[in-house]
Amino acid sequence: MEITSEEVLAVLRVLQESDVEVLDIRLGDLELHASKATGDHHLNGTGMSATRAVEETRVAARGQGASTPQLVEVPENTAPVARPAPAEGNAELAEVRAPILGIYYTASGPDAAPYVTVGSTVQEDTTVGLIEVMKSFSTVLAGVRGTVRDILAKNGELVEYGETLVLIEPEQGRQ
Amino acid sequence: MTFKRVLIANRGEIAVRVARACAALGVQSVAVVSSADRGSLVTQVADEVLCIGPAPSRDSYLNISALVAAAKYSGSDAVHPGYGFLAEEPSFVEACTDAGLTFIGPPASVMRQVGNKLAARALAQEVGVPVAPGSVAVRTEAAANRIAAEVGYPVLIKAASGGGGRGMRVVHSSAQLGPELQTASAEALSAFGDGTVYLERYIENARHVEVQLLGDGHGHLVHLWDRDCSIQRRYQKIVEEAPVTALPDHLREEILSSAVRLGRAAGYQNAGTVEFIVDMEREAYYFLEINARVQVEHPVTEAVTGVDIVANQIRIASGEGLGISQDEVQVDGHAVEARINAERVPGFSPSPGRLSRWEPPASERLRVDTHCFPGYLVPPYYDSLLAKVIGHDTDRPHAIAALGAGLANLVVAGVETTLPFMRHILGQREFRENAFNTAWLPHVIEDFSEKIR
Repeated sequence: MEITSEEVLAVLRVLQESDVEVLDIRLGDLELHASKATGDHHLNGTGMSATRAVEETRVAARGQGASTPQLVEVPENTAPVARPAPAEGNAELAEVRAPILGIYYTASGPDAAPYVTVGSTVQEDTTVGLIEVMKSFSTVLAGVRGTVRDILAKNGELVEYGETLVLIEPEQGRQ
Repeated sequence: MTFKRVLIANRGEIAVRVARACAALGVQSVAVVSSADRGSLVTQVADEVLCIGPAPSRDSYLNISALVAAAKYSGSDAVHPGYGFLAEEPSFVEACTDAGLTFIGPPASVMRQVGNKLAARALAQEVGVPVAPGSVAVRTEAAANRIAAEVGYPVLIKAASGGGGRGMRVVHSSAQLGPELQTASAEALSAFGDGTVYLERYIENARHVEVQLLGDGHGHLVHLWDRDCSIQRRYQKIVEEAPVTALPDHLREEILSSAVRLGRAAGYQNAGTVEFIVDMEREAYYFLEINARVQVEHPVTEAVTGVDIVANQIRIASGEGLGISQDEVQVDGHAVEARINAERVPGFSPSPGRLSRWEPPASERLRVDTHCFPGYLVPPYYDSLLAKVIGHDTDRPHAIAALGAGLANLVVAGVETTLPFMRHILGQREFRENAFNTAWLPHVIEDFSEKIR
């Protein structure tokens, strides 16, 4: 697939006019990475990408700034249906988001202990939950080292793609 | 109505159209969106919204397991596929059926038969529907040369698994035939997973005519008259109208009855369209393909017949049957549709961006099907269709006038659109006099690009 400079400009114009900071487009073998690169610490170095299995980013806690947390990897429209995280305090929390739509499980079985609870310490590869799509299960990883501050998704309930499942306070000095 | 909830496996204007049809029938609707479409209009119209995946279609609107899971987990009974995406994908029909969901469309077996152009062509021949002079599958260059010599140049190479104008090549001489055949077959293999190609006579002075069918799958099948979609760019329709007025009545009657015969032979269920190419020099028509879905241009038929095609799709799928007899389907006046795309003319390159202004026209003679609103961000990932503006009045000249007034009153800013070009088409003498064919539009594009240069 080929792209003209005119098309690149069109993409940049979309980015400029949107609230989005970083945009990754992959169409076949074409990859386009565009960033406003304003040094906005909210999104610094999060490498958002449409194809990452587990998406996480650092967002400013609500109430701290006027803006809504941004995690979409694409231009966001005016009436988002996502359920943003009701984080408390001023700490920057990492959101673990659902990589696919499905039924969320906080434990490996009805009688098993939950993978994590509020206060649990997690590593990047710690399992925080499972998502079932028609009898096939995907593991949701923490993606960041830190402490679980909130678990928003309920056991056995439907979660959407991109829905915030768990909030993690990243370990100091690492991010 | 036996359905309680219908999941809409599509986006854009058709998702809005289906959600509104559900509401009118007292059925709840579930919209599925990619993360790029979280703020799209359908999220305001549907009863429930689920984000099924990231922006790229293959991970969202083409993701069968995510769609089926969303339907099951949201408690939907049925799935409406819209057009494009998975609307004509038999494996999607099967995935829905296997999960206990009703697919609003024909069964997978019918879809497979009509989806393969060679199989559909064979069925047409069986029931005496004319097909363009040409061939069955062409496997060797020698065979291709023989057939091309028989039907005469120029010939069209077509992909057996293609459709909607994709996978076609015009060949003007025998010297070109060999190389073009190889390229076409390789392209077909990569685009459709099937390299089978065949040859047909290329008709230079042609009109594209199609017949809308509605069938309940139990022997009751009616036509909703015909449409003329001859104004095309690279086989993509730009302006469509109903009914057909460029053909003598006897030819229209033959085309309508051929379409119904073919629909019955295929055991056709739900809404479908039989497409024909009409050779204006020979006054002959040939079967092209059957589209097993609701079509983009369905509103012109709804305007002149008063039959709600989408509502009927849902009713038929729910088992209520088809509550219309052929005699009840009458044509009232004429309707013309213009597609407004977020594209730059003359290159027709996409022009995504935020709509700083969007003010659709309104009048009793107009219908506007759209998912746009002021501030809407047209995402760069999908089809560029913004709106369909349909003018309906007593006859063709008045319908064109109604559409012209509608286009004059449509205000759009923030992205480049085909609106100025649509206005240009409406002003052309050949268009007003109904004196054009499928090869006309490229000349108009050339003309228009001179004008704006």
